[in-house]
Amino acid sequence: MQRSGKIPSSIVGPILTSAAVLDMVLVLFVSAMVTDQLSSQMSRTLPSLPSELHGAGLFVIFLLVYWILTELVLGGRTLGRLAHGLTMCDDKGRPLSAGRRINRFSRKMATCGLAGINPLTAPPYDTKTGVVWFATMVPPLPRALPRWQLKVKTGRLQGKEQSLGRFPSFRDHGLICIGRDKAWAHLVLPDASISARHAILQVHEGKLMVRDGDGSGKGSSNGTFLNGKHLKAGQAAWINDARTLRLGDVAIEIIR
Amino acid sequence: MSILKISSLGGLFSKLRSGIDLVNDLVDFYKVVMTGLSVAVSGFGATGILSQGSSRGSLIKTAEMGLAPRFTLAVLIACAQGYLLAWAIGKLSAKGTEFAQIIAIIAAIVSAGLLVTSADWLAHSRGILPELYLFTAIGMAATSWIAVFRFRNEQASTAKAVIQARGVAMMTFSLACVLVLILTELGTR
Repeated sequence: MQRSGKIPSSIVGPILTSAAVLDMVLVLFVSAMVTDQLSSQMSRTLPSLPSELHGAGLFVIFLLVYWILTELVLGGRTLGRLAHGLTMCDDKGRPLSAGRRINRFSRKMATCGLAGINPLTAPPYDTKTGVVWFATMVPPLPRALPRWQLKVKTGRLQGKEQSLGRFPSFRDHGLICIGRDKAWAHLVLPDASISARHAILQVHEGKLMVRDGDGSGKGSSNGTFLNGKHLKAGQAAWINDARTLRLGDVAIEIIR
Repeated sequence: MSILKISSLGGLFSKLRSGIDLVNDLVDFYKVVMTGLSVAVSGFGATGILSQGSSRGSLIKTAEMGLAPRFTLAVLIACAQGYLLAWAIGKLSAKGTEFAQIIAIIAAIVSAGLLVTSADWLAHSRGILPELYLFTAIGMAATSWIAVFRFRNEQASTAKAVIQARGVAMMTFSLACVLVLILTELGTR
């Protein structure tokens, strides 16, 4: 029962790699624990194998056993994934069926798991079998997004109107960053009173909230006002019934 | 011109001061954690076996400690590091600058070094129970779990780039742990 939000496939690689490395240290511990006991037996069974490689051989065997146990029997739960708050699901967010787990495992084994090493992207055996990862560090997507509209009342974009659903970031993550910085903001307001990273509109626990600043605790230069009330630097507030949002000198009407 | 110079110097001075404040905060936090741990272990020292008190704090003699207190100490240290690491990564990743990301990665590497070093300090047996691997694995799991737990509480302020920066820092931490573990093993042979 870990699941929070879906991790975009473009950024899942590092988190999965981190979890996999932790699992390997665990397997290393288990294999090191029995190396001394099994080393003499291995010398008898495989006399051609140098004794220095016994530890490595046992590590590989235990890693295979660990993969079979965790991927097929435990439904993808490993120590590393539990510690990183990761849950393996299908594209609709449901637990993986046994068939899909076997399909994924066989594809993983086809490359001895090496295809998953690339930390820059999702493993190919995940994308080909439609496996999606959820993590507790990612905010969950709200079930019903508000169908509200934003209408700019003052400033250079005066009169411009756009529904929240038109922003891809809002559809995918329930989030709209507002500011002058084109690389950061989803809604760019080219006004001198607007900070580069001025405010964030975000759906949290099914409700819309506005946060002053870029989310790091640092506030905007000219402030964020909700229904005329000034939010402290970095402060967040539920929008609820509020009708006007003012960022610096730019007033935005919230139309429901 | 001179006013400009003064103001830029003032800005530089204020940045320097905020940097020094941050380092002071980190040092204070680490001192508090280590003092707390020392006091906790001194509690075991009531038996006169586990620790030896002194006027300057506690001198922890891990050589005379059993597996259970050493294991507990390893988990406590890992949890403290996880909290500290998550705090640092959380703050730095939210800034979104390349410099902040590099500092976050360095913090992860330092944290990994401290984790494996403390595991090596607490581990004795390299025989039937390889304690170095055990403490490292459990320490990595505890650090990651605490860090992710803290990230979860900051969900409301997370964008894709922030999550990516946190993931990269966590990956760096895990890989650095393995690297330091290998170096530690090689160093003892």
